[in-house]
Amino acid sequence: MEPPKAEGNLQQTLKLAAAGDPEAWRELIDAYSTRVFALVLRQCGDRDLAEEIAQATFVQVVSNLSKYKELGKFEPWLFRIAMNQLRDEMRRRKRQAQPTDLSQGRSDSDEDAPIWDGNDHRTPGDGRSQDPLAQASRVEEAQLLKLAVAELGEADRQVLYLRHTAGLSFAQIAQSLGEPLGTVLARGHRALAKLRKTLTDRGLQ
Amino acid sequence: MKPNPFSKDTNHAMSSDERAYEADPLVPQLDATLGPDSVQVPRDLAHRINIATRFDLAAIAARHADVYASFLPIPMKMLRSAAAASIIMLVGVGWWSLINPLPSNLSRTAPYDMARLKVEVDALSPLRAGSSMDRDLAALSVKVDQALGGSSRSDVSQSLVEHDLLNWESQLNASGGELF
Repeated sequence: MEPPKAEGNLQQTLKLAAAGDPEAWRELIDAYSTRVFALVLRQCGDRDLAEEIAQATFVQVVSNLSKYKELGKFEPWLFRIAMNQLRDEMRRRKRQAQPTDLSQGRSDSDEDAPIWDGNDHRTPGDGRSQDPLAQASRVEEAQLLKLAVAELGEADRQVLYLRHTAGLSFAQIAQSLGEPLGTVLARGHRALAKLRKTLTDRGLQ
Repeated sequence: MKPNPFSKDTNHAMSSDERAYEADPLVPQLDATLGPDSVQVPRDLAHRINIATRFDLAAIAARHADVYASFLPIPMKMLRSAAAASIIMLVGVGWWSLINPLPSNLSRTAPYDMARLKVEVDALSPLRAGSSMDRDLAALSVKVDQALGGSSRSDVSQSLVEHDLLNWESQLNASGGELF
């Protein structure tokens, strides 16, 4: 069978996957597994659990795909499943979800490192990544920003993770959380204001 | 990270509040600091999820098949009339199907996947005969059985990675498919 031409055609790929096409299903996993894993990892800080939840999320998706009608809401649906899976697992384990706590040495964890080390995504010629002092400063800024995010309230932090880690628009975040767009936007702006104040207090802004 | 081949949320026109958010100087920093590229993703994550979902689909389909099959002997033991047994069986299966519909994608792929995967993993032993992998393969075969019985998805997919069996399909193809 010819591989599906899924570029920009999520609906067609979803139909093929729902009909049991393994290539289409693989395309969906390739497209979304990293973002699902990253979103869960940011919220729980446990790599093994994040992978388990990512797997459970895709199992639930494929099990319900034939009943799902694509109305431009696949991503909110997918990430809502991931968050529900994480919440249920946390309840099952009878403990609260732990946010990424950078103050307890998590800055040494590998998921915090790549963007600032050899995997730096900036181009070599942009003049920024070649200055060690400037790079060290950016590393420090990034760590302080992560600390500030970790200190936000859960609702505000969740909006930031859905926006910047999962890559959802605010409309999609509202669909995913089942809340009005205005509420979600207000949380986003409130989070930015708190971050700016925290960074200013620490002499970074 | 691979780029998402599917379009983002293009149906939505941004409000002034959203534009104000996106224009905030903190936003690019948050993208870089919290974005998926800032997380080290496990090697073969997508492949492992693909395998795990196949195992789970197989297990779900197997459970459905077991329940369907369980309807067969009961009416025959209880009723002497074959016609009555057939009617009761049909009603029972119909009722059970209504409350437990099997997704179409499972019915088409999962049983085939379950059988194929089991056979293929078992069939890797001759390919590796005489090597130190023999015992590992035996253990892996047990893992597959456990998977079909509902063991941890991570355990099974991790085993496949550890035993370098993620490319079992290509290995089997290279053997000319004689094992089948």
